[in-house]
Amino acid sequence: MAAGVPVETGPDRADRTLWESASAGDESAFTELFERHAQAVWNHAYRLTGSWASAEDLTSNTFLIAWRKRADVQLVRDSALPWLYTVAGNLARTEHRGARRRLRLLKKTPEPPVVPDHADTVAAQLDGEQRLRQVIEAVRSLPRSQRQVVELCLLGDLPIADAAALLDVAEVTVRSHISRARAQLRALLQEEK
Amino acid sequence: MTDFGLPPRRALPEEVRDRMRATLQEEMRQTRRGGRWVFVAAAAVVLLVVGAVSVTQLIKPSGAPAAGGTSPASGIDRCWSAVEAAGKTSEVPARTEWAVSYTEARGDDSVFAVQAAGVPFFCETTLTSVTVSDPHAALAYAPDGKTALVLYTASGLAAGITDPAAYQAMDLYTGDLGATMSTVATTGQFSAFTGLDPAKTQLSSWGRQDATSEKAGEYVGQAGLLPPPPPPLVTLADRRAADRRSPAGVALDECLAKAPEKLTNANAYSPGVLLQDGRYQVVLGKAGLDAVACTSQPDPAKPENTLYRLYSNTFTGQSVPVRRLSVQPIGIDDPPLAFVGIVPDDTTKLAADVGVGQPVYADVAGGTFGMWLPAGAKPPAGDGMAWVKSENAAGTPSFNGWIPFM
Repeated sequence: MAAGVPVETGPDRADRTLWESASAGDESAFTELFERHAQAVWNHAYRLTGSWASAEDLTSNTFLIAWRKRADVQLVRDSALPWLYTVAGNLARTEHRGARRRLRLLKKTPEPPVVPDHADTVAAQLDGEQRLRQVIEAVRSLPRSQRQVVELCLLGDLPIADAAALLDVAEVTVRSHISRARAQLRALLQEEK
Repeated sequence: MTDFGLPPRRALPEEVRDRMRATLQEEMRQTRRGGRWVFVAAAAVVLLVVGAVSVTQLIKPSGAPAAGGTSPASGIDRCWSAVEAAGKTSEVPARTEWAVSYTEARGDDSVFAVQAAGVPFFCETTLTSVTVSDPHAALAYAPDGKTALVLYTASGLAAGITDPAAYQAMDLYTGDLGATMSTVATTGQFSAFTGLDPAKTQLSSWGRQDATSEKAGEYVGQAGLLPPPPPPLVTLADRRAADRRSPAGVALDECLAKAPEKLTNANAYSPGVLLQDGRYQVVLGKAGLDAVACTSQPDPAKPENTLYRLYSNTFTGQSVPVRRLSVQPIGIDDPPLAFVGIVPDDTTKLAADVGVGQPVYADVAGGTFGMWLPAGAKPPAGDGMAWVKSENAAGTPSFNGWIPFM
């Protein structure tokens, strides 16, 4: 490398800088983005699907798509997370649509006889996952604009400003959607208790 | 979201991170090679006929390299090999002048936008074939006088040229089938995997100014209806097509031919499991990373007829080696339900817990598994997941975990 050329080093490089390097073909920059955000996307994917196996698939595919699209996408603000969350959300919905009809039909089949099994020992864990699945179903029933902000800000814990920039709406609009969505989710989840 | 009582976030296990990182690195490696394709040894090569296109046959001895080196040609070299095999090297610029403007891939289908001696042309490679556009053919332009299709292949790849000063992105669309956006390269070349059948569709296009935005207000010009492109210079089947002489292969052949959904590289899919219950049938196929399930059933409206449907694998990652393919129930009254999917190719046995109190064994063949669900089947843990364990002939497990049941 030529002397005097300024070099940006890994830990301090912003997402936007890494993304621009990745767009120019820098694999190490994209790998750094992966290492930085894999855990957040994986947890987000779990909250979108209610399944750790599906979360791994979804996370993996989110980064594959990000790599393929890196030259076509410009980051809003400084974080890659809003866009990664959006890709994960789109993938989750594509997968869910195909499964929904089958599940509806399966519910018509007779219940099997009740037998004690290992599930009793992990009841607490399943209760938590069951709760998550109820929330996921309730989120899916929200109007599109509310669902988007819930996925980004409530499930994904993104700052409101980032979601507003990604969705190209005012922050006050995001806050309004969140407020309405919270009320609707509480009502929906109350009904299921 | 804690006010909704959700489980807390977890630390990402290192083995999960490793698997996902490996998948990503493999994708990067394939991108470096100029596209994604899966090696299929060239033993004998099959004639592929696409419309009235000029077709060439290439025969190579078993195990021989496909082109001049120590390994089969890949990427753009495969395009040149096809031109050589067709005896048409005099009709394209010399290989040393070829410069790839860009390359894109969808699954195992890749396109190379090439510029040579000021002439733009395209090459498409699939699992089994190569198509090269004719660099010197006369193009028919859209009403804007700037935009023309150069290639529109049977796999649905549409590629063309336009004025890069006028448009930085191009939307291709037809009727109600939606639009596909493509970035326009500085050479004016653009391309998109439309998934449409060129025999049944004619594309139109809108130019955009900003390739990174999807806002409707940024359209800058309608190129209009795109006349069909000239015939390609070369269409060559240079890889072995799948052997479909088995009963499952015959069923897959028929189903793929009759299903209304279009499948890229249909002849590359090897047959997997075949499930039959009277006139209800599910047959699986696998080609490289891709898998499909093709179903047939009596037409409820006209029972003497048969309905065919094709389902493709929506996940292309490899982090979980066993995965289910989502297939809709077939039939109306009490239809049989299929639980099908893919497994590592060396898998010989798969046991599943589908909530009936004992393991159920699926049929396994060609890297796929399948079973008709028994009466009373349901997700065993009530969370929409089924437990499966797969193993190879030596009894070594390749997967032991949960996959989506529906």
